[in-house]
Amino acid sequence: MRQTPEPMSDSPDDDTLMAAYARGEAAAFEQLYERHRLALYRFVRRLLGSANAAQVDEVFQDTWLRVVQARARWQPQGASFRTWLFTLAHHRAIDLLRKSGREVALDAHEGENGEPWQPDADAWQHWPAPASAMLGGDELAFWRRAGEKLLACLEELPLAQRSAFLLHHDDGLALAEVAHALEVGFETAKTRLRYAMAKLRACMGAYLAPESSR
Amino acid sequence: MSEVRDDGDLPRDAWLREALRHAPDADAAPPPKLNETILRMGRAAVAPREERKTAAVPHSAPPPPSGTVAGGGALASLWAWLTRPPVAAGFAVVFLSTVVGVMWMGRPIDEALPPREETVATAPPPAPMAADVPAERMREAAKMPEAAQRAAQAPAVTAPAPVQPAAPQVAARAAAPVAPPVAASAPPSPPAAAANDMAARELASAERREAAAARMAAAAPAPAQATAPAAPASAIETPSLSNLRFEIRRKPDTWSWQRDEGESRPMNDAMQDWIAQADRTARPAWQHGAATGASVTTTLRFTREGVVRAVLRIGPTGLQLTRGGKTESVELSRGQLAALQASLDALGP
Repeated sequence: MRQTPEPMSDSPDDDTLMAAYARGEAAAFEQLYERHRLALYRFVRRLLGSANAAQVDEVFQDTWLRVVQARARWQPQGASFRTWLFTLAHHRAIDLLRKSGREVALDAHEGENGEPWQPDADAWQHWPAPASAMLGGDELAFWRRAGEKLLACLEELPLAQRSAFLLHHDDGLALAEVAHALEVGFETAKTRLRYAMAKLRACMGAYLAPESSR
Repeated sequence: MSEVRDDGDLPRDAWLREALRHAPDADAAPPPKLNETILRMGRAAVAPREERKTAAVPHSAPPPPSGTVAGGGALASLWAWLTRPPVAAGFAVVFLSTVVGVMWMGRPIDEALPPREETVATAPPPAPMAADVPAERMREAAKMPEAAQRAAQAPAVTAPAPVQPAAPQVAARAAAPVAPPVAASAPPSPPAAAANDMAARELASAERREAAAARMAAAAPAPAQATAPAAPASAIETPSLSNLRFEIRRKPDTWSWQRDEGESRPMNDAMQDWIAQADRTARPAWQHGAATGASVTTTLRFTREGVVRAVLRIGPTGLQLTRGGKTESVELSRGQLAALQASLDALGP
């Protein structure tokens, strides 16, 4: 459905491109941009939610502006360029939400005690198998409705849990990279992710019951 | 559903991932215009300086004046240099400074500067203090260079003149022009000549001032003639009348004025105009001390919050202002005095 450009085997990696850009090669920046623009734009859009849809372009552009400004002093200090890029976007999103007067709870499980609720595994077994190569008409319609509902469920998550889930599930960052991007400890990132997944499963399971989808 | 992997990572939920992949915004992409903007920004940051300027502000610089392009590269480059913001701003500052300078040319600096603030005390006694004059002259002499002092005092030694006991140095100075010059015996060295010049100028000035004092004394009643002649010092840089004028202008509502024994009247624009006229007329010639023996034709009292802050006396030969325990006087021509008097009369009795 969507295509996220991945670096080809013979194309330089992100760090090499960033170093080339710092030396003044504009083409390296163009390659970096083309490689990450779709994923970053989607991340920003989903992170801000429908309430802040008008600011998506601003945050996206500002993130790249910071990449441009930081090109000379950027060093791959244990994190990939991609992780750093999402960190910048996350910071900008938090800035924007705070500026707009919204309360941004960075303590993701504030007020939540114990283990997150896990739905019964049986609730999922009637769903179509995910990642089917060939989706039929009914299955495609089902997943589209599921996608719509998932976006609505995402908006109900605290920002910290939302960003952890998006980075992990949508952008494919490993949990350690998620922790790095969010500038929290590994266990904290893990807890945020578990809560996010549990809440999303609950939200999805309650709405998109298998009976109603078929 | 979510077994913990060896590296501690959590497995991705395949159903949630699939739902994400099919979400309506899965194919969202930045608008083409935004792509262009960001790419242009990225290119401009690493572009060479000249190219960057052209890319950043393609149409901001005004075109060179007609003819300069045809005239050659020198004029074009000069024009390009002149249109640079720092250069243009520099020329603008110079131009503005010139305009301001021309506007203020010929005007006294005192007009542009606020007067020194002085503590105003109650009205001092109106009678001029003749005994202050020699003391003032002594202070003035102490400020003179040593050579000038020697030159000024030399005639008093070589050619004694009739001296009044109260002011021996004043008399010595007055007699100096008639005494044989010290330089007659031998040509003076350059510093000595300069000192002599200074002394001569000082004495000539003293003569003029004393002649003025004598004229005032001639018009004064008999008791005043018994005192020593006034010897006004050098012109005052910021006369008290100027200070009074600006002080009144700051808070005119708190001031009132009284002419002779008439009724007290609140300060108004007309009176302020008159004070300004008097200030402008007399400003260059105010001297420390009283006009000895001067008779008074009109007395103006300026009061603030019930306390008399200044007393201005108008005499037949000049003005005398007492303010803050100090007395200053100025000699004016008949025409100047008549103009001031007429303006004052226009304000009412």
